[in-house]
Amino acid sequence: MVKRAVPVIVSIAAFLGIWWAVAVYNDSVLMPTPWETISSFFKLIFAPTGWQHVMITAYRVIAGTLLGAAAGILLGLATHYNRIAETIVKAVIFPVLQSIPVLCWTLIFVLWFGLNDMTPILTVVVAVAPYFIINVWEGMGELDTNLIEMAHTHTESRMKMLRKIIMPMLYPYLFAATRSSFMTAWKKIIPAEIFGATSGMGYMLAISFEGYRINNVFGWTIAFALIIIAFDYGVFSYTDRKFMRKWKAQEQKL
Amino acid sequence: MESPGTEALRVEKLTKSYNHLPVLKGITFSVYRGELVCILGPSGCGKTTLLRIVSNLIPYNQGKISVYGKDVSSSQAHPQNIGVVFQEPRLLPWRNARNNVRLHFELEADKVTRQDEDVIDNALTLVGLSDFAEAFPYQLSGGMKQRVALARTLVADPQLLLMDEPLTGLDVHTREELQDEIINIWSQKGMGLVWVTHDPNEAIYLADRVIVLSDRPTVIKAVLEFPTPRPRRRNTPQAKELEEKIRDFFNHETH
Repeated sequence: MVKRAVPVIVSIAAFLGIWWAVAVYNDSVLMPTPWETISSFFKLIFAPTGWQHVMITAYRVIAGTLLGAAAGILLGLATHYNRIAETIVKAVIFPVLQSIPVLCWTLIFVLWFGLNDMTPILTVVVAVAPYFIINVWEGMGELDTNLIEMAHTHTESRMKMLRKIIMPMLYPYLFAATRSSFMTAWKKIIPAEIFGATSGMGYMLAISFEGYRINNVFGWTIAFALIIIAFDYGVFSYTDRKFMRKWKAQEQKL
Repeated sequence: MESPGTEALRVEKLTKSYNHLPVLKGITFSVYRGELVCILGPSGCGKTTLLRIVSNLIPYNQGKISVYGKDVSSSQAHPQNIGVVFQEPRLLPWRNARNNVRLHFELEADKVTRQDEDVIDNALTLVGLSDFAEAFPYQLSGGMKQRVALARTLVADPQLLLMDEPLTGLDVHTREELQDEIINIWSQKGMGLVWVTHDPNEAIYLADRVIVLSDRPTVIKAVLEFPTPRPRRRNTPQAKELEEKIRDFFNHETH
């Protein structure tokens, strides 16, 4: 544990040191020091409205990810169970989602829906849905047919089969999709809020940028980075170790 | 209560081919209630295919299969009174032993009743796993996993139990132990039991009747009766002699 922690701490210290040296050497308002950035970050976050913007963005990310997940899972499953759905998803929906840059969607949504929650949420939906579609496809291709055959000796209900056998087999894939989606959502929501919202962290970033407040631009940037790190190394890593183990035990065996 | 003479399974002139390649060719036999019948054949002879057809998991080309007088093919579904134990335990790795057994009720009905919970506990006790109810499959040995699978099948109270080489891959000690336990459970419950195996020794020890299959295209080569009362002794000189004969016969078949 200690052996692994030392190089990590040294690397981070080196990064901060170089950043600090560059900032001090340039002595420019365009390059705040790490200390100035961190203090600006705390000022922004603990300002009376600061938290609110964080919460608004978090709400949009979560709502968008959930809607995108629901859409992606339904589309992914539909391709498996229905020929027409398969053609529509594989020939139209998936290529459209994959090929159109998310920023273009954002601009279109701004034109359609104006500046409100709708634009950033829908931006997240189109950004994350492909992750779920792809992972459901992959998961469905890897289903353990032995377990399905076993379940057939207990039930004829397709719905029960889906709920008790197939969906649980997809959990590792859905977990992977959620993890990638969440990272993507936090990144794609920035331009969506810059162009399409009047609140949220992206909006605050835009205001800082327009007002030439460099420290605040750095402060909000750090806020985004810390949230992503906290989720990926904290929540998702923990869940992976704690709960996905039983599923992994299956994978190793087969 | 049905009399022991009831026909649990009747297979008549069953024929099955995969892409015009014949696998089963006119198989006919019956299994009576309270009877233990072993289906013995060389590897790859279509034993598993036969069992999967009877379980209504795959279709067949010609013939007739009835379970307690009811035509199996007439319903699309797996017949309710048939229980299947596969060669692999086929447990859901994300569920503990108890919940793997519970799966039967969750799949079969909308609600698991208090009574069902008791049936689950009894089944776990019957297979000797009451202390391991909370253990997950990765924490169980091969033999224990197969016990869980057996309990999952038994809670359905099957009147015809089909076992597809259920003890293959287990060590000799565990195998013999489980053979005896399954014999015990079967004699308590008195269902018809079809046990597929490639091991003549196992068939001779277990069965009331052994149906010997040929290599593909599979036909019934011989039907051997074993009226020896239970508990039986393992590896008696007569059994050894018979085992050798059957092995010779298989070697001639496959070479």
